[in-house]
Order: sequence, then structure tokens, then C-alpha cells
Amino acid sequence: MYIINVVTTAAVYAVFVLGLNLQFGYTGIVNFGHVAFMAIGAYTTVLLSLAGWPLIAAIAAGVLLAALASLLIGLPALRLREDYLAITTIGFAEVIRIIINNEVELTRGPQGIFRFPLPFESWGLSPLGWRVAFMILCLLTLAAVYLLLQRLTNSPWGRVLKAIREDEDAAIALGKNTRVFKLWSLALGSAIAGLSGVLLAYLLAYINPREFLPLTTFTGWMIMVLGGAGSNVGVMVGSLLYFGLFSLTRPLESSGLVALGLTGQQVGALRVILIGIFLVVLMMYRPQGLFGRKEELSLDR
Amino acid sequence: MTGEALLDVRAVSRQFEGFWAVRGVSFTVPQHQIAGLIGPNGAGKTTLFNVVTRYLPPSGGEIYFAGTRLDTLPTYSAPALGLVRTFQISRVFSRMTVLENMLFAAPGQVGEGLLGALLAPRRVARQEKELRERAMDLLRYFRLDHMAQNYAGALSGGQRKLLEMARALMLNPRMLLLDEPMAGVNPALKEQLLDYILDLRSKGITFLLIEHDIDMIMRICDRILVMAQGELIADGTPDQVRRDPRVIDAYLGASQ
Repeated sequence: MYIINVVTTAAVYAVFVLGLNLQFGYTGIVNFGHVAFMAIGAYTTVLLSLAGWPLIAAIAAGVLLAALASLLIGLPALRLREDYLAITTIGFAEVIRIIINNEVELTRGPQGIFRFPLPFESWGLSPLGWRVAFMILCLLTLAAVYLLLQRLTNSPWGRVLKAIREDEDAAIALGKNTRVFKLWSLALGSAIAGLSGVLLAYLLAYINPREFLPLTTFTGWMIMVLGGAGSNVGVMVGSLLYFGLFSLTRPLESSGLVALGLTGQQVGALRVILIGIFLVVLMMYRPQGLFGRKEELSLDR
Repeated sequence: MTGEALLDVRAVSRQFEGFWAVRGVSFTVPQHQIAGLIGPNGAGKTTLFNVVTRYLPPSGGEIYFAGTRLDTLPTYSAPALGLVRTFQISRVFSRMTVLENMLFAAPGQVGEGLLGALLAPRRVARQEKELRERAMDLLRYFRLDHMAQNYAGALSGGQRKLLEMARALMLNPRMLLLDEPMAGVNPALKEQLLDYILDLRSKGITFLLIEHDIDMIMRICDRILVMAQGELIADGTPDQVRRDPRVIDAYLGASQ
């Protein structure tokens, strides 16, 4: 049961980070508000299916709305460069979360939503059977998103994204309408984040605005840097490693540390510290991440 | 030698918060000409270049290229019309291979659309193969073919200049605007670059180049435009310009 949970969580986050990797790893768009699109996907799908929409239609609407929301912020904000765009997107994500938190009549606000239609409900599965079926669904979704992105990033379309990441002005000088490419990259990455939000809602069988704090975006960034920005395989391995590390350090909670007088909360914090140290050491020896290309870092612009 | 005007710059100005970096500059460049733009530092040459290529909007004036008004179009559309620029400091895509740099520049790629990339893999592959052949031809011409699979960031400064020019040629340009092509280039490569420019002109390409190396510019340019303090102060053949008292004044005045 536990390992199923770890794999499912890692798969859901891998989908989330693949979207981020398209935006940052390939296009160089610094999106610090990625969680907003996860939230939009999750809430749209859950609310529409509660209103009686068939699951597939509700999911499609959630994904589409996440993409449209990203265009709403992208149209004015993509003119900004790096840090300014980062601040704008993080602000946008907080606005979305606070709206969800306060629109109590629509979203039930901080209470969250507990009961909503889940996939495979009519199959009459045991709780364990449902977990397995849902894990397979998440893995299949991950595989589909991965294959889509591999095809796109290895195409001439992907080549334009990489050129924009390198030097947008030079790309314009060679006749490319870079704004359109950036908008598509943003929208597609956000649609993928929306899809991961739907999966997250089903995984937790519960949604609440607190699931969509900025921390989730930064967890995504951590996974991307760990795996290597610009590598789709790296993102998937990074996600598995991140959640694997989290579960590997779990036995600490029932270890002698508690007997030593540490509270459970303190041991939990210790786990995060250990993972942090691992990341710092990894970045010292492999600054490009697990699957990044070292020589790309050493090339000057 | 000269044909109809390809580039037509009419009373172009550009000001930065009250300071006129370019003021009322008009000139035309006929087809097949190599025109040089010189002037002391701060004369407004690069600003004029940026305005002509729409990297900066003009504060006044009009720019026509091959009869099409350029200054009202978006920046990325000039290359499609056949006007391609390079930058003062070479801007190759370091973390892409030399060949990828070349392929990127080709216009009209099916695989650059999302639908084409997803749904027409065979057409994309066929086009990629054609483009690869053309790119390799150009790389051979610039003697960069042995570097095709290397990262562009691994090239020397001179090789980057060549790659930038090769990459621009992937667009089949009618006119190239080169911003200081000889800056920071060793003497042997300068001679090479000069030969390339003359050879490309004989193949029908028109040039406008900014250059500080006066010897070099006197040797290859059919015509020289001189700017000082934002204005065009002389326009003529190298011999005429060399003897022009205003030009001598501008240079000596600036260096003293």
C-alpha cells in the first residue's frame, strides 16, 4: 500500500513538473506560479463533476481552463524577463489560491471538498484494488504526457523553444515570432499542470486551498533541478527520487529519535533537513542535475 | 553596378528622453552594393541599425525594404522579406549544436507549428533532411562543417562570426546588415571575412555594414555613409569621403 502511494504521488508530481520543464527547461520561462494551474485543473474538474458533468468532460474542461488562465497572465506578463516574470507569476498563483479560499459558496473555501466523483467508482473495487487501478492510470497519463513532450521537444518546434531560452533577440532576428511560441509553451505546460491537479484531487480524494500553497511550486522546481532542467527523463526520475527519499526517511519517525525526546513534528522537520542536505551535496557535485548535460553549463553565452 | 534601391531610409530619427541619437537620416542602398556606415563612437550607428531592423521603434521617419514599409511591421517580419541582421557581439545559440543553429534559422518549417510537429512526422523528417543538406553546404562554404555536431558555445570568436553569417544565409536573404563584423577578429580571418563578403555580393547579396576598421571598409565598400552626432554628414565613394573636410573634422574632433 505504501509503495503504491509513493509511486502514484511521484507520477502525479512528475506530470506536474513535466509541464514546468517545458516552460523553464526548454523555453526559459520562469514560472513561479505553476501551482495555480494545478489548482485550477483540480477545482474545475471537481466542481463540474459535482454539478453532474461526465468525468471525461469535466477533466477536459479543467485542463482547458488551466491553459486559458495561463494565457490570461501570459499575454501581458510574457514581455517581462526572468525575475519580474517570476514575481508576477507567484503573485498570480496566490491570487488564485486566495480567490478559491474566499469564494466559499462556490468552492467551500478553507473547509475543502470531501466527496466528489472519482474514476473507476462503478467498478466496485476494493480500496487496495482502487489504489492499484489509480496508480496505473497515473502511470499511463505520465507516459502519454512524456511521449507527447518528447515528440514536441525533439521537433523543429522544440528547437525554437531552445533558441528562445538561449537568446530571444537572436531568435527574433532570424524571423521567429517568439511571442507565439512562448505563449504556446506556457499554455501547454499549464494544461499539463491542470491535468496533474485533477490526478492530485483523485489521489487525495479531497481538495483544499492549502494543497496549493507556493511551496508546491517550489517542490516542483526542486524536482526539476534534481533531475536536470531540460530533461524529461530527468524530471520523472527526479520525482521518484524525491518522494522515494521522503519515504526512505520515514522510519526515522518510529526510531529512537522519538525516544530521545524529539517530538514527531521535529523528526518530520529533520527528514526535510536530510533531503535538503542531499540536494545541496548533489548540486555541488552535479550542478546540472542527474540527467542534465554538464557541458551545457560550462558554455558561455 | 547599382540597381534599384533595396533599402530606403527616409528622415529617420530616434530620441531617448530628449537626446537625439539619430536625427533626420535619409539614404538608400541600391541592390548589389556594399555600403559601409562609419563614424566616431556615439555617432548613432548602432541605434540607426536597431531602428532599421525594428529593434527600436523610430521616433520619426519611414523605412522601406524592397518597396515594403518596414517600420510599421513587427520585428520578426523583416527576415521573411529578405533583410537579416547580425549583432555586434556574435549571438550564436551556445547550447545548441552548430548544425541546430543553422536548421533553426530556416524559414517556413512545417515542424515549427504544433500540429505539424505532432501530426506530420514524415513531412517534417523530409524537410529536415533537405534543410540539413543545405545547412551542410553552407557550413562547408564557411569551413565549419567539421564542427557541425559541436556545441556552438565551443566555437572560437572568429568561428562564431562565420556561423552567424552562415546562419543568416539559411534565410536566403537579399540584404545583410552586419554590425561590426571585423571587431575582435584576427587579421587572417579578417581577410577571409572580406573575401566572403565580396563573394556573396557577387552572388547577389546587398550589404550594409558598420565598421570601425577604416582600412577594411575603404577596401570593400562601394560607398560610405558617415555619421556624427546622430546625423549623416557625408555620403559617397571611399575616395570622396576620405577627402571630405567634415569627415576629417568629425574624426579628429572626436579623438582630441
